[in-house]
Amino acid sequence: MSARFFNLFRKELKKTVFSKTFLLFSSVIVVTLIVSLHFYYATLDSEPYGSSYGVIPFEDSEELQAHLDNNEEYISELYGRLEVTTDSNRRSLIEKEIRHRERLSLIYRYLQSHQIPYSQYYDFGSLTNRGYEDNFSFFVFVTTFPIIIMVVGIAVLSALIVTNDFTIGTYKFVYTSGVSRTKVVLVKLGVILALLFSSCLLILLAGLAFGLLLYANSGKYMIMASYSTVFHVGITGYFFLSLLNFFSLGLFICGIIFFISLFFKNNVISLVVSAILLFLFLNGYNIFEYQNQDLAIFNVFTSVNIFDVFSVEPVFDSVWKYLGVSFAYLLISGAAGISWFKRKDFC
Amino acid sequence: METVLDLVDICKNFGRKKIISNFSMRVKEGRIVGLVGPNGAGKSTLIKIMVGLLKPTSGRVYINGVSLSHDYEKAISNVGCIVENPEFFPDMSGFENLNYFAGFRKNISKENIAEVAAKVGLEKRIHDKVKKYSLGMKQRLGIALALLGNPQILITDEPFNSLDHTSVYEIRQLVKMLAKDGKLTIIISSHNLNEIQSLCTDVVFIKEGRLVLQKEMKEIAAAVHYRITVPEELTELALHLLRDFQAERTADSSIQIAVNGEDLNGVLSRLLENKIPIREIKNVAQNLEELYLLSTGGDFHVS
Repeated sequence: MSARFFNLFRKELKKTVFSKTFLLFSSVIVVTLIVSLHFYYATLDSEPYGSSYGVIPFEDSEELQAHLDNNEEYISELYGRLEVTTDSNRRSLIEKEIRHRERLSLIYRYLQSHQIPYSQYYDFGSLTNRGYEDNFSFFVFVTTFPIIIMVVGIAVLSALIVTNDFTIGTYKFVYTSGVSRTKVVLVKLGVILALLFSSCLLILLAGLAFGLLLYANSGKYMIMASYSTVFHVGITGYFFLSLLNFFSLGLFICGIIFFISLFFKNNVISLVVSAILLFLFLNGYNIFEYQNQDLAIFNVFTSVNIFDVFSVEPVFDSVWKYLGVSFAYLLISGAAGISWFKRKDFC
Repeated sequence: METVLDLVDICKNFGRKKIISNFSMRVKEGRIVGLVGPNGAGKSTLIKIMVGLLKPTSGRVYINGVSLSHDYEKAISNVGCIVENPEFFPDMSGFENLNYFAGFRKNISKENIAEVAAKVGLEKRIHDKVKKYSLGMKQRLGIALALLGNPQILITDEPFNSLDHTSVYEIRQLVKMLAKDGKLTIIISSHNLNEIQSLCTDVVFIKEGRLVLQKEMKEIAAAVHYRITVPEELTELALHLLRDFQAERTADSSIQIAVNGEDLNGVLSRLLENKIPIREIKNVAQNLEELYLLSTGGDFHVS
């Protein structure tokens, strides 16, 4: 049974890899990667800090302590303001600022306890707090757009891999060939996941390889901070984290689109529905920004968001909660899609 | 001979519309069964139910005694089928298509694929892209695909549809060749009664989703039909007198009746007792087309 399953998987994978859709997206990804490399390399000279990390002067521990003290003082002041403010909008702004400042304190303390040199070039306001270290910046820059295209491309494949058989008419052979509908669907899902993982891996490996080639392994720290935790990684650690991030993101987006496509028997309808879902996945965080924050986690379009993967907040802040909710959505859509697909008539 | 396909009381509704009603049919091993019916009779729906593409509203399908709904994989492993027009991936060659679909069957080697391609006469064009194939070639490729894995039952839906005379001839020869050793059971749905008559050992008529008639072709050929000619003005009276028999008025105002020799004596006595002169008695062989029209209520009678 497993040999037959693997054989089927191999043939489905080959057919999908040589499909026009996959070849088109692969070409676009390769071109984007080359263009990103070219642009970043061309702007290297104008980068103010070049490969000077660790060489440029950084502020000493007293300076860092002063930053921490100032920050703590400001937080106390903000709490004071909060006590006397009744306007709900103003209270909300103050609370937001307190959260941000408390996060900074967390980072300052983390730097102190781990004896990590504090550089003014760390931009704690930015989402990843990656600072301006060349290797990390390069890695993020050259992989961002190819990864977005890859997720969109595989989402399109996810929408089409089942419905294509109905549009062409090959479903009459596929679903009368002695393999149950559930197994056929699982093989096709397996192909999507294999393509997702391998594409993700190849893009990130390309970014890492070129980065190491240009800068060697100069990157020492990448500070990742959420509102509750702080940690630091090297460039290879960041590579694995990125792989996990992007694969998880792709798994949720492509998985949900795949399962929803089981309700349709037409490429066009499946693509339109997928485009709407993708739009919500891409923009959900902004669209649903003002909803009740306590319920935000249950909105799949805010918890799984392609752009927020580049930030640490949704991924690393309450990571298990978000992953749990996303998996729950994936399982619900999977159970509903497969159970419908098993029962439906193929006219 | 064992029953290889058993349809038990199949009903299929689409919404409130009944497409198949209490359809039961048994097919024995090695038979070639022609499924015949007018457009919209439910032939394709029935075939889709036989291969599991449609779920019956009620009733059961057994293939080699295995219920299709209970053990789909085991039951369907004995079936090769082509439902409606065979469609393939147009940008892949015939061989690549067969190789892809071979993944769904157990233990199919590339040699097996080449073998079935040769069997259907596609060995020279098997590496061409399917988009370059004619409809007849696609039909043959469909049969090749259905034959992968040596099924016991081959089900084809309208295999002669839209084919030119050469392709019809080729498909007919192919089906005859496949049926030669008597191991393969073939079910063919078709409008083409001549093809059904020349190919099939059994015929099943379906109308409005109901089984109208299931007969062996040799029974049809052996059925004795007499055409009795009486004076035209007495035809109505004669038909009335013979209402106990299956008597029909023909286009030339004769009476056609299906009876054996003994019953013929009774028919003639009854006509003569009522002083109806008999001008001519002819023994006529029954034609599948006539039987089809009679059974399905087609426009056989001349008004």
